[in-house]
Amino acid sequence: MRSASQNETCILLDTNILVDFALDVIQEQLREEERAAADFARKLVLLSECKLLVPEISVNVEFPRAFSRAVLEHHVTNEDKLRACLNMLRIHRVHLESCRSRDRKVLGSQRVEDRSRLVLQDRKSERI
Amino acid sequence: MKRSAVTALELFNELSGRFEKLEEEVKGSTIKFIEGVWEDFLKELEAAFGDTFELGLEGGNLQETFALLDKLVVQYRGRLEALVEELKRRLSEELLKELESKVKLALEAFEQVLRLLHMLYLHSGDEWFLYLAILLYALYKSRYPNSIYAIAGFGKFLRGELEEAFALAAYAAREGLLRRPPAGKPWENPKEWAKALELSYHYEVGMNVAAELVHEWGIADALREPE
Repeated sequence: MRSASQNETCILLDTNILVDFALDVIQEQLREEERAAADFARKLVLLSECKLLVPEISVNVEFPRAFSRAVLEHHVTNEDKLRACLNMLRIHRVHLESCRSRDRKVLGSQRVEDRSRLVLQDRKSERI
Repeated sequence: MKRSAVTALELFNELSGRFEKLEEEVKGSTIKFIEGVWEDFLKELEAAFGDTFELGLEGGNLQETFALLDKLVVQYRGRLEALVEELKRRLSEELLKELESKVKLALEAFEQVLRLLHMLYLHSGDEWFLYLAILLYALYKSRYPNSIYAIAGFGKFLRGELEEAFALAAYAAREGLLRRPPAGKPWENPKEWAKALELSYHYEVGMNVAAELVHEWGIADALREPE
């Protein structure tokens, strides 16, 4: 993710990537694809030098709605947990706001899926 | 950074019900602890090298601070090492014991200090815990002689000069950061240096704590399910 051409292009983060970004990369119980997707999203948002386009609706509506629904469905009622969840949601948005770019040149979402698949293939070939 | 033995869930469950009291106690006692370490550092500097360095580190802009530290490292490298290593030990081992006494939990590794601080941040929303965790992360990542820049960062932190504190700490840990620091000197672009440190921290520590809790509470499974 460090070539000169990639620094000039943007990647559009849709809600699926925002969800992957919130998930775990280490948990052994997760499927390989889930860990790869989470790792890709985390590297993309936090470590890459790509410019990120983050739609307002994804950050302010779709992801918070999905997260809140998940919290309610799992009957998280403990006050300490609820406070932590609320702050996680806030922090999630802070990360994305700090990395977003105003650039309008967009890398389509299909290319993002292709790159995610490449990361997974790389991981498999490393083990071979 | 490897996942430490006590999981985030175990830590959270142990602290549940006493978070507010702990947040107040930990913040109060840790500020005093770090102030004590910083004061001792300045006194040692004055005793060893005269008050030029002591005064320079207390005032001055970021570029001046770097110039002073560079001079210290070049001119007094050998004599400085014992002092810097002792301070690093105090800010890791002694701080760990201090926190253990407050939370009434055995913290087996320094990584658990970072996870504890991040958890207090997640619960309280008080960024002070996050800022301290990030500075300690940089200190943990740095090696002598670079550690002295991280220690100087604590001085800036105590005075509320956060961007400068992070720029110093980022410089100290630059060889170990996962996010590449920017080109140029830290005093030319402190915001970007600070950002490199923060993002590396979140990648290695912060996101692991949050994501582990999200997974253990079952929220991760529900997030993945389509509506």
